[in-house]
Amino acid sequence: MTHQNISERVFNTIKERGITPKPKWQFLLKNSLLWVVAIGTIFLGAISFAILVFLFQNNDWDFYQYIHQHLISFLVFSLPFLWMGLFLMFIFLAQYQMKRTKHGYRYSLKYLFGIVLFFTMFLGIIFYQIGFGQAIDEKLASSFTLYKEILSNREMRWSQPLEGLLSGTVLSVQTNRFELKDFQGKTWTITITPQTHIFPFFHIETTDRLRLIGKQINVNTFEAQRIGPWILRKPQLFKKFLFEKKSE
Amino acid sequence: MPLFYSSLKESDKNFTDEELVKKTLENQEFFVSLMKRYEQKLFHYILKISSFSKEEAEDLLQEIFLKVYQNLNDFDVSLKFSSWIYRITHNEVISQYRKRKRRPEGNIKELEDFVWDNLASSLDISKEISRQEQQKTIRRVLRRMDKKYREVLVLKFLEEKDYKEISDILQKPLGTVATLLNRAKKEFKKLSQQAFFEL
Repeated sequence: MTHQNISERVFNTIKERGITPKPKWQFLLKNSLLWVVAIGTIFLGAISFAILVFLFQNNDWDFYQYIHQHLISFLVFSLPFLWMGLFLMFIFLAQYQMKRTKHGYRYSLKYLFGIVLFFTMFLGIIFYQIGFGQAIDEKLASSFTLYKEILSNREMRWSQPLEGLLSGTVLSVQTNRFELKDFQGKTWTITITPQTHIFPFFHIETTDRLRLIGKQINVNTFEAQRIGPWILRKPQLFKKFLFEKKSE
Repeated sequence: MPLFYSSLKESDKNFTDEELVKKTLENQEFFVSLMKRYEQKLFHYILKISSFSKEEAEDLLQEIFLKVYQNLNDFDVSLKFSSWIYRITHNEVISQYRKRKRRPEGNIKELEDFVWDNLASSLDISKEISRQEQQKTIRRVLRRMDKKYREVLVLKFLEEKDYKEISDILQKPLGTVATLLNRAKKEFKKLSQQAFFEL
């Protein structure tokens, strides 16, 4: 068979087998799915980034020397490695998906990485600003014990009154003292002395969640040396409407 | 062959590839004209980038044309049709090699003199050796080269594709194609100097 006969042979095969071109919608669907997966991965990466920013901002940098002796050990135990890993994983996945789109091959890996990183972080910042990061972190902590105890162990870290670390929600405020309910449900009387350092521009009010460094005086009393907000920013709009618990 | 096909052949020459694709989707008879335009080019291209025999190359070319026909609705109009069909051909050759777990070595046989001259000039082969020795050197060197360098050299100098076309065929960014060609030329020069002394 010479190659000049190939065209005729192929055409006869097409006629005999009734081969037809695949419908256009199949290709449109395949290409659309690639984009949906890529955008979905960027979306997930943005959520991870929002949670990362939230956790970084509230990582107790101002109080680290009271929690750990060394900055390195503090970083090792407190950094949110899970979310850092997930964020990077979603970035690389999104980049891989975009490379596989119809014209993705025209762009270098570095360029695609940069684009994906930019849009993921941009969307992530928006999610963070509307409180998405905090809301998801707290929802995961309240729904999964493993997440709360191992991956988001901040509450446990701040529930060691014998070690001088306490946290909880303010129940009532009086002069030089206030009532606090810790995250385990126990009520404390917190005393404030002239040496107590309160976070700048922060006023203690009922329902505020706080972190305290000080000394346990007796079973129900804690003398505060340093008081700071639990979250550095107030709850945002999204969290307020979706995750705020009804008052008991 | 039906009369209709015979009468189509002459007028088809006036159509561009892209117009023929559209017409094929309305009437499959036009696909023969499209295949006729590319069967020789692709047949020789397969031989250049693989070590298939002529019979194997013909069989593969049939499979390629069937695949092209089935995927016609996926033809991206932002590409040249030639880039698209070359892309399918290139990918099918690689796919066949993966199935056989072999490395494509390239098998350049007869080319027109002007192609050899162009190649020798572009790759800086010594003009002091005869054309026959030039061809021997080029064939030997291309066979020894890394696949990723050989394929860009073949597309650029033997298939005379430009950078954009090579980018579309190999599905690599333009910058990568330029870098690969640059490195390929250097690699070719180095290997050709070694090969020259072996002649």
